[in-house]
Amino acid sequence: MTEREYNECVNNYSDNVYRFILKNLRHEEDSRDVVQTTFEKMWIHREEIDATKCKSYLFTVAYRQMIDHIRKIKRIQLKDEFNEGMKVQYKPANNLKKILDEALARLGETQRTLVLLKDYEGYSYEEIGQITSLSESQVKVYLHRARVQLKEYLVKIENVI
Amino acid sequence: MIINRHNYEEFFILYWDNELTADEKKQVEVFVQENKDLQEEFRLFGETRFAPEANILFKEKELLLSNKNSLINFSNYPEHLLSYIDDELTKIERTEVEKFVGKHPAVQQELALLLKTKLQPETEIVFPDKSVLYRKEEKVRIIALYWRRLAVAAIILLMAGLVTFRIINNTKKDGQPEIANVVPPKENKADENNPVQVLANQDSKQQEQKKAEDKKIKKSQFEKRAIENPVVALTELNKNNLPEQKKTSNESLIASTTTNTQPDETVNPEFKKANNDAIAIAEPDKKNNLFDNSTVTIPASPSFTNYTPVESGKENESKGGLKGFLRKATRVFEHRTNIKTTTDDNKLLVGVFAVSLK
Repeated sequence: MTEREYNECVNNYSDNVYRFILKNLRHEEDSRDVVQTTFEKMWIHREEIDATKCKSYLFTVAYRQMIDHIRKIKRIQLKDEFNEGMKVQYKPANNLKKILDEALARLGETQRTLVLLKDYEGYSYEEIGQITSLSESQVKVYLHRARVQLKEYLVKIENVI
Repeated sequence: MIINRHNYEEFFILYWDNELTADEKKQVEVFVQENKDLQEEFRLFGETRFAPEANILFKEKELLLSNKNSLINFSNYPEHLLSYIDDELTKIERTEVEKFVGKHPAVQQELALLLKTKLQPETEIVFPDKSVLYRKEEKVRIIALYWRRLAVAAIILLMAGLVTFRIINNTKKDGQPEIANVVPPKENKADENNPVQVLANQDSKQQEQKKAEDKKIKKSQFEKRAIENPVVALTELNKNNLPEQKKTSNESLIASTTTNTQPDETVNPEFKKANNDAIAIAEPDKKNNLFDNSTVTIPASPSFTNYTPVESGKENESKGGLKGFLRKATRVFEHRTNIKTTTDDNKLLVGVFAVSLK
């Protein structure tokens, strides 16, 4: 990968990676740090990376960085998770989007990642499996469970409303 | 079991449910006849029975029918619906699911709900300050320095320079008759009978005498300059590391002035008194009429006329060069100042103030 190809990757995929991490971590500064670290790693290993596969490389590294970050926060964090510092930064204006956002936050880390990779980036089960180090069948099962949970939350909210 | 007024209700229910034998039914009928107050109750139990309604029919019998040839059915349709949402089905599978969904509205409602759970990318979320992510390679030009080749080339150039320098020096030495000065004493003894060699010896002797005379002249000239320009003399003498020569030069000067019978018209008579005084030469002599109402033409520069004398050890090497230089210098000086600085005997006068009366 040349310097020009690297900068093209920055233009093309930095927003996508940032969006993916932000929806997972729900913290703007931490998400930015993860994205910067991801691109820095790609720059260091640019000679080993094929320019056509830079997107999958970015998401793979970003996912691992995110998991490491979450584990580190869990070790450090002593307070209850539901504190003011963990407020959602981006609140969708649409009601359905807001409900979905809340439903997404209720999912587990892996399920949330799979849903975002599937809906935001359109990756296949196989590709998602490569990024998250899961088998294709595992991805399918986790993803279906996540969908069912999201649907049940929607039905529940609709019933309440 | 005998029917009595304490257990008759159970027998009445069993009677109307057709759960009793014929004999037990006759016993119930006899009991009802004997207890007429219980006949109304017996009749009401009989009216609580329901008859099936023929108008109620199950219309979707096909859903209950098992079909092993179809891809999708009620046992596996959720998985197919989810795969349909994820775009993971082939074209054939997609058409099958769409057909199935079209046939069953319940399934269609379920599919619509699942489609709502599909997230849409929020494109308004962008990474701020992308300039932090951009990188630029530092292009380092690698200049190959072949050190060995450079070293070899430098050595070759140095050797060539040394060789040429030695050649030049050797050519200069070959032009000087030093060898003739050394060889003649031996040759004279060995070859006295050879007339050619005798002549050569005589020539060499004459050359030696000339050399000696030249040496003396140079020495006298040097001593004069040393007195007249003490600064230059001091510096030169210091270079030569011969401070005692200053005194000796004064003495030799006095001796030379006394032995030199050539009249020096331009020499200031007070100059002799100031031989030992280094400052005397610098002070203008007001008593000297030469300085009254006349332009003083001082030699262009003391240092110019008081040329750095060559050491005795080097006289042989620069003998011709020094004389030639002095000749040139006097010519230039005379041409510029119109002052004659040489005597009739073609001796250079040093340290003389001359005033042009023109």
